Amino acid sequence: MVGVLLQITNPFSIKKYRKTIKIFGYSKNNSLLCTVQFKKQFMKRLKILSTLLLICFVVATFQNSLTSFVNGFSLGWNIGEYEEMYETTSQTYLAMKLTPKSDLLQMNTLNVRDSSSMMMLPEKATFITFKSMHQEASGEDKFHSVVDALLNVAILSCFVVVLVLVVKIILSFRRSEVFEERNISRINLIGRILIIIGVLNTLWEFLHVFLARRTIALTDFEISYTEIIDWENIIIGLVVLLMNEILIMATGMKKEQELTI
Amino acid sequence: MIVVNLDVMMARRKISLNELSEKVNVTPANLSILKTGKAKAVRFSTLEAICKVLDCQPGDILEFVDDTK
Repeated sequence: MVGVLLQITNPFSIKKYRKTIKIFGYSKNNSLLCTVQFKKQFMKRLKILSTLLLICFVVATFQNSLTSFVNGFSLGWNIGEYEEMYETTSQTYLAMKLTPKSDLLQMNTLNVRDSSSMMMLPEKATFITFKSMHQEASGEDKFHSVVDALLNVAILSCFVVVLVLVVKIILSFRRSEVFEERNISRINLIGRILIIIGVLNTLWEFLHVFLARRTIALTDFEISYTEIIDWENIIIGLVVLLMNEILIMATGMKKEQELTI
Repeated sequence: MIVVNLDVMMARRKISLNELSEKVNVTPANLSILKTGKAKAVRFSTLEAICKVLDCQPGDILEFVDDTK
Protein backbone atom coordinates (compact mmCIF):
# COMPACT_ATOMS: atom_id res chain seq x y z
CA MET A 1 0.00 0.00 0.00
CA VAL A 2 1.77 3.08 -1.22
CA GLY A 3 -0.67 5.62 0.00
CA VAL A 4 -4.22 4.82 -0.91
CA LEU A 5 -6.66 3.02 1.36
CA LEU A 6 -9.47 1.43 -0.60
CA GLN A 7 -12.71 -0.24 0.46
CA ILE A 8 -13.99 -1.68 -2.78
CA THR A 9 -17.35 -3.42 -2.66
CA ASN A 10 -17.76 -3.71 -6.39
CA PRO A 11 -14.59 -3.17 -8.40
CA PHE A 12 -16.59 -2.42 -11.54
CA SER A 13 -18.59 0.36 -9.95
CA ILE A 14 -16.58 3.53 -10.49
CA LYS A 15 -19.03 5.59 -8.41
CA LYS A 16 -18.60 3.42 -5.32
CA TYR A 17 -14.88 3.35 -5.99
CA ARG A 18 -14.72 7.12 -5.87
CA LYS A 19 -16.92 7.38 -2.82
CA THR A 20 -14.90 5.00 -0.68
CA ILE A 21 -11.44 6.13 -1.72
CA LYS A 22 -9.40 7.82 1.00
CA ILE A 23 -6.38 9.77 -0.09
CA PHE A 24 -3.08 9.54 1.71
CA GLY A 25 -0.91 10.08 -1.34
CA TYR A 26 -0.51 8.62 -4.78
CA SER A 27 0.01 5.14 -6.10
CA LYS A 28 0.76 4.20 -9.68
CA ASN A 29 -2.46 2.36 -10.39
CA ASN A 30 -4.83 4.70 -8.59
CA SER A 31 -3.24 8.06 -9.35
CA LEU A 32 -5.98 8.94 -11.82
CA LEU A 33 -8.74 8.33 -9.29
CA CYS A 34 -6.81 10.23 -6.61
CA THR A 35 -6.41 13.17 -8.99
CA VAL A 36 -10.12 13.06 -9.82
CA GLN A 37 -11.01 12.98 -6.12
CA PHE A 38 -8.56 15.80 -5.31
CA LYS A 39 -9.96 17.87 -8.19
CA LYS A 40 -13.50 17.26 -6.97
CA GLN A 41 -12.61 18.41 -3.45
CA PHE A 42 -10.77 21.46 -4.78
CA MET A 43 -13.67 22.38 -7.07
CA LYS A 44 -16.13 21.97 -4.19
CA ARG A 45 -14.09 24.38 -2.05
CA LEU A 46 -13.80 26.75 -5.01
CA LYS A 47 -17.56 26.70 -5.56
CA ILE A 48 -18.28 27.40 -1.87
CA LEU A 49 -15.77 30.28 -1.83
CA SER A 50 -17.13 31.69 -5.11
CA THR A 51 -20.69 31.59 -3.75
CA LEU A 52 -19.61 33.33 -0.52
CA LEU A 53 -17.67 35.92 -2.50
CA LEU A 54 -20.63 36.55 -4.81
CA ILE A 55 -23.00 37.05 -1.84
CA CYS A 56 -20.53 39.37 -0.05
CA PHE A 57 -19.88 41.28 -3.26
CA VAL A 58 -23.58 41.84 -4.00
CA VAL A 59 -24.34 42.84 -0.38
CA ALA A 60 -21.30 45.16 -0.18
CA THR A 61 -22.11 46.80 -3.51
CA PHE A 62 -25.74 47.26 -2.56
CA GLN A 63 -24.83 48.54 0.91
CA ASN A 64 -22.18 50.98 -0.35
CA SER A 65 -24.40 52.27 -3.16
CA LEU A 66 -27.27 52.66 -0.72
CA THR A 67 -25.09 54.49 1.82
CA SER A 68 -23.77 56.84 -0.88
CA PHE A 69 -27.30 57.45 -2.10
CA VAL A 70 -28.58 58.18 1.44
CA ASN A 71 -25.60 60.47 2.14
CA GLY A 72 -26.13 62.35 -1.14
CA PHE A 73 -29.85 62.60 -0.49
CA SER A 74 -29.42 63.93 3.06
CA LEU A 75 -26.77 66.42 1.83
CA GLY A 76 -29.15 67.68 -0.85
CA TRP A 77 -31.97 67.85 1.71
CA ASN A 78 -29.81 69.87 4.12
CA ILE A 79 -28.78 72.24 1.34
CA GLY A 80 -32.43 72.69 0.42
CA GLU A 81 -33.32 73.46 4.04
CA TYR A 82 -30.43 75.93 4.26
CA GLU A 83 -31.63 77.70 1.10
CA GLU A 84 -35.17 77.90 2.44
CA MET A 85 -34.04 79.12 5.84
CA TYR A 86 -31.80 81.90 4.49
CA GLU A 87 -33.93 82.53 1.38
CA THR A 88 -31.02 82.14 -0.93
CA THR A 89 -30.33 80.18 -4.07
CA SER A 90 -27.04 78.73 -5.13
CA GLN A 91 -25.54 77.28 -8.26
CA THR A 92 -22.85 74.86 -7.18
CA TYR A 93 -21.78 73.01 -4.07
CA LEU A 94 -18.51 71.23 -3.63
CA ALA A 95 -17.46 68.74 -0.98
CA MET A 96 -13.82 69.41 -0.15
CA LYS A 97 -11.17 67.90 2.06
CA LEU A 98 -9.65 70.53 4.32
CA THR A 99 -6.39 70.53 6.23
CA PRO A 100 -6.12 72.71 9.36
CA LYS A 101 -3.28 75.21 9.06
CA SER A 102 -2.21 74.61 12.69
CA ASP A 103 -2.22 71.39 14.71
CA LEU A 104 -3.04 73.36 17.85
CA LEU A 105 -6.25 74.74 16.44
CA GLN A 106 -9.10 73.89 18.82
CA MET A 107 -12.82 74.26 18.48
CA ASN A 108 -15.65 74.32 20.95
CA THR A 109 -18.24 71.63 20.79
CA LEU A 110 -21.20 70.84 23.00
CA ASN A 111 -21.76 67.63 24.95
CA VAL A 112 -25.51 67.08 24.54
CA ARG A 113 -25.62 64.72 27.56
CA ASP A 114 -24.85 67.39 30.14
CA SER A 115 -24.68 70.54 27.95
CA SER A 116 -21.05 71.11 28.88
CA SER A 117 -18.72 72.72 26.43
CA MET A 118 -15.76 70.69 25.21
CA MET A 119 -12.54 71.39 23.40
CA MET A 120 -11.49 69.31 20.46
CA LEU A 121 -8.82 69.11 17.82
CA PRO A 122 -10.18 69.27 14.29
CA GLU A 123 -9.62 66.30 12.05
CA LYS A 124 -6.90 66.46 9.47
CA ALA A 125 -9.49 66.13 6.78
CA THR A 126 -13.03 67.33 6.91
CA PHE A 127 -15.76 68.29 4.49
CA ILE A 128 -17.50 71.53 3.77
CA THR A 129 -19.98 72.65 1.18
CA PHE A 130 -19.88 76.08 -0.24
CA LYS A 131 -21.71 78.21 -2.69
CA SER A 132 -20.22 79.18 -6.00
CA MET A 133 -19.20 82.84 -5.95
CA HIS A 134 -20.24 83.39 -9.52
CA GLN A 135 -23.92 84.11 -9.90
CA GLU A 136 -23.52 84.26 -13.67
CA ALA A 137 -21.68 81.19 -14.91
CA SER A 138 -18.73 82.21 -17.06
CA GLY A 139 -17.47 80.23 -20.05
CA GLU A 140 -14.67 78.79 -17.95
CA ASP A 141 -17.17 77.66 -15.28
CA LYS A 142 -19.27 75.96 -17.95
CA PHE A 143 -16.17 74.21 -19.27
CA HIS A 144 -15.33 72.99 -15.75
CA SER A 145 -18.91 71.78 -15.27
CA VAL A 146 -18.77 69.82 -18.52
CA VAL A 147 -15.40 68.29 -17.61
CA ASP A 148 -16.74 67.45 -14.13
CA ALA A 149 -19.83 65.77 -15.59
CA LEU A 150 -17.78 63.84 -18.15
CA LEU A 151 -15.39 62.61 -15.46
CA ASN A 152 -18.34 61.52 -13.30
CA VAL A 153 -19.94 59.59 -16.17
CA ALA A 154 -16.62 57.99 -17.10
CA ILE A 155 -15.93 56.87 -13.49
CA LEU A 156 -19.47 55.51 -13.10
CA SER A 157 -19.23 53.61 -16.41
CA CYS A 158 -15.88 52.13 -15.38
CA PHE A 159 -17.37 50.95 -12.07
CA VAL A 160 -20.31 49.32 -13.87
CA VAL A 161 -17.94 47.50 -16.26
CA VAL A 162 -15.82 46.29 -13.31
CA LEU A 163 -18.96 45.08 -11.51
CA VAL A 164 -20.13 43.11 -14.55
CA LEU A 165 -16.67 41.60 -15.09
CA VAL A 166 -16.32 40.56 -11.44
CA VAL A 167 -19.74 38.89 -11.46
CA LYS A 168 -18.85 37.09 -14.73
CA ILE A 169 -15.58 35.82 -13.25
CA ILE A 170 -17.27 34.58 -10.06
CA LEU A 171 -19.97 32.80 -12.07
CA SER A 172 -17.25 31.25 -14.23
CA PHE A 173 -15.45 30.01 -11.09
CA ARG A 174 -18.72 28.50 -9.89
CA ARG A 175 -18.84 26.53 -13.16
CA SER A 176 -15.35 25.26 -12.29
CA GLU A 177 -13.79 27.21 -15.17
CA VAL A 178 -10.70 28.66 -13.52
CA PHE A 179 -7.74 28.66 -15.90
CA GLU A 180 -9.57 30.02 -18.92
CA GLU A 181 -8.34 32.55 -21.46
CA ARG A 182 -11.57 34.51 -21.00
CA ASN A 183 -10.95 34.91 -17.26
CA ILE A 184 -7.40 36.07 -17.88
CA SER A 185 -8.56 38.79 -20.27
CA ARG A 186 -11.36 39.77 -17.84
CA ILE A 187 -8.98 40.09 -14.89
CA ASN A 188 -6.52 42.01 -17.04
CA LEU A 189 -9.30 44.40 -18.05
CA ILE A 190 -10.38 44.85 -14.40
CA GLY A 191 -6.81 45.79 -13.41
CA ARG A 192 -6.51 48.30 -16.22
CA ILE A 193 -9.94 49.83 -15.52
CA LEU A 194 -9.15 50.17 -11.79
CA ILE A 195 -5.98 52.12 -12.67
CA ILE A 196 -8.02 54.28 -15.08
CA ILE A 197 -10.58 54.88 -12.28
CA GLY A 198 -7.71 55.92 -9.99
CA VAL A 199 -6.41 58.38 -12.59
CA LEU A 200 -9.92 59.77 -13.31
CA ASN A 201 -10.65 60.15 -9.58
CA THR A 202 -7.36 62.02 -9.20
CA LEU A 203 -8.25 64.34 -12.08
CA TRP A 204 -11.71 64.88 -10.58
CA GLU A 205 -10.24 65.76 -7.17
CA PHE A 206 -7.64 68.00 -8.83
CA LEU A 207 -10.37 69.88 -10.69
CA HIS A 208 -12.34 70.43 -7.48
CA VAL A 209 -9.32 71.56 -5.48
CA PHE A 210 -8.28 73.86 -8.34
CA LEU A 211 -11.75 75.45 -8.49
CA ALA A 212 -12.01 75.75 -4.71
CA ARG A 213 -8.56 77.32 -4.35
CA ARG A 214 -9.39 79.82 -7.06
CA THR A 215 -12.68 80.73 -5.39
CA ILE A 216 -12.10 80.72 -1.63
CA ALA A 217 -9.34 81.07 0.95
CA LEU A 218 -10.09 80.17 4.57
CA THR A 219 -8.37 81.61 7.63
CA ASP A 220 -7.81 78.39 9.61
CA PHE A 221 -7.95 75.71 6.91
CA GLU A 222 -6.29 75.19 3.61
CA ILE A 223 -7.42 73.29 0.56
CA SER A 224 -4.35 71.34 -0.45
CA TYR A 225 -3.40 69.07 -3.32
CA THR A 226 -1.80 66.56 -0.93
CA GLU A 227 -4.67 64.08 -0.79
CA ILE A 228 -5.93 64.22 -4.34
CA ILE A 229 -4.23 61.05 -5.66
CA ASP A 230 -6.51 58.00 -5.51
CA TRP A 231 -3.84 55.55 -4.40
CA GLU A 232 -6.36 52.86 -3.34
CA ASN A 233 -7.71 52.14 -6.81
CA ILE A 234 -4.30 52.48 -8.46
CA ILE A 235 -2.68 50.03 -6.00
CA ILE A 236 -5.59 47.56 -6.21
CA GLY A 237 -5.39 47.76 -10.01
CA LEU A 238 -1.66 47.01 -9.96
CA VAL A 239 -2.21 44.09 -7.53
CA VAL A 240 -4.91 42.70 -9.84
CA LEU A 241 -2.53 42.97 -12.82
CA LEU A 242 0.15 41.19 -10.78
CA MET A 243 -2.29 38.40 -9.88
CA ASN A 244 -3.22 38.20 -13.55
CA GLU A 245 0.42 37.57 -14.46
CA ILE A 246 0.45 34.69 -11.93
CA LEU A 247 -2.76 33.33 -13.48
CA ILE A 248 -1.19 33.53 -16.96
CA MET A 249 1.78 31.49 -15.67
CA ALA A 250 -0.59 28.98 -14.03
CA THR A 251 -2.59 28.62 -17.25
CA GLY A 252 0.64 28.02 -19.18
CA MET A 253 1.64 25.32 -16.67
CA LYS A 254 -1.81 23.73 -16.95
CA LYS A 255 -1.52 23.67 -20.74
CA GLU A 256 1.93 22.10 -20.50
CA GLN A 257 0.64 19.53 -18.03
CA GLU A 258 -2.23 18.69 -20.37
CA LEU A 259 0.24 18.19 -23.22
CA THR A 260 2.41 15.83 -21.18
CA ILE A 261 1.68 12.31 -22.36
CA MET B 1 14.13 20.28 -31.93
CA ILE B 2 12.90 16.83 -30.99
CA VAL B 3 11.06 14.96 -33.75
CA VAL B 4 8.70 12.14 -32.80
CA ASN B 5 8.93 9.18 -35.19
CA LEU B 6 6.12 7.24 -33.60
CA ASP B 7 4.16 7.00 -36.86
CA VAL B 8 7.21 5.47 -38.61
CA MET B 9 7.61 2.83 -35.89
CA MET B 10 3.87 2.13 -35.90
CA ALA B 11 3.97 1.62 -39.68
CA ARG B 12 6.98 -0.70 -39.35
CA ARG B 13 5.23 -2.79 -36.69
CA LYS B 14 1.92 -2.55 -38.60
CA ILE B 15 0.00 -1.45 -35.55
CA SER B 16 -2.90 0.99 -35.50
CA LEU B 17 -3.28 3.97 -33.17
CA ASN B 18 -6.26 2.44 -31.36
CA GLU B 19 -4.48 -0.85 -30.88
CA LEU B 20 -1.38 0.86 -29.52
CA SER B 21 -3.45 3.10 -27.24
CA GLU B 22 -5.17 0.04 -25.77
CA LYS B 23 -1.87 -1.75 -25.18
CA VAL B 24 -0.05 1.27 -23.78
CA ASN B 25 -3.08 2.40 -21.71
CA VAL B 26 -3.01 5.93 -23.12
CA THR B 27 -6.04 7.53 -24.74
CA PRO B 28 -6.02 7.70 -28.56
CA ALA B 29 -6.33 11.49 -28.33
CA ASN B 30 -3.17 11.76 -26.23
CA LEU B 31 -1.33 9.33 -28.47
CA SER B 32 -2.38 11.38 -31.47
CA ILE B 33 -0.95 14.51 -29.77
CA LEU B 34 2.32 12.63 -29.28
CA LYS B 35 2.32 11.32 -32.85
CA THR B 36 1.75 14.73 -34.41
CA GLY B 37 4.52 16.30 -32.34
CA LYS B 38 2.22 18.62 -30.36
CA ALA B 39 3.19 17.10 -26.99
CA LYS B 40 5.30 19.22 -24.63
CA ALA B 41 6.70 16.28 -22.66
CA VAL B 42 6.63 12.48 -22.44
CA ARG B 43 6.61 10.56 -19.17
CA PHE B 44 9.25 7.83 -18.79
CA SER B 45 6.44 5.38 -17.95
CA THR B 46 4.66 6.18 -21.25
CA LEU B 47 7.90 5.92 -23.21
CA GLU B 48 8.70 2.61 -21.50
CA ALA B 49 5.26 1.22 -22.35
CA ILE B 50 5.49 2.31 -25.99
CA CYS B 51 8.99 0.84 -26.38
CA LYS B 52 7.78 -2.41 -24.81
CA VAL B 53 4.80 -2.71 -27.16
CA LEU B 54 6.69 -1.65 -30.31
CA ASP B 55 9.82 -3.58 -29.27
CA CYS B 56 12.16 -0.69 -29.93
CA GLN B 57 14.49 1.80 -28.22
CA PRO B 58 13.54 5.38 -27.20
CA GLY B 59 15.94 6.59 -29.89
CA ASP B 60 13.80 4.88 -32.51
CA ILE B 61 10.84 7.03 -31.48
CA LEU B 62 12.56 10.30 -30.58
CA GLU B 63 15.13 12.06 -32.75
CA PHE B 64 17.03 15.31 -32.27
CA VAL B 65 17.17 17.58 -35.32
CA ASP B 66 19.28 20.75 -35.22
CA ASP B 67 16.93 23.28 -36.82
CA THR B 68 19.43 26.16 -36.55
CA LYS B 69 21.50 24.75 -39.39
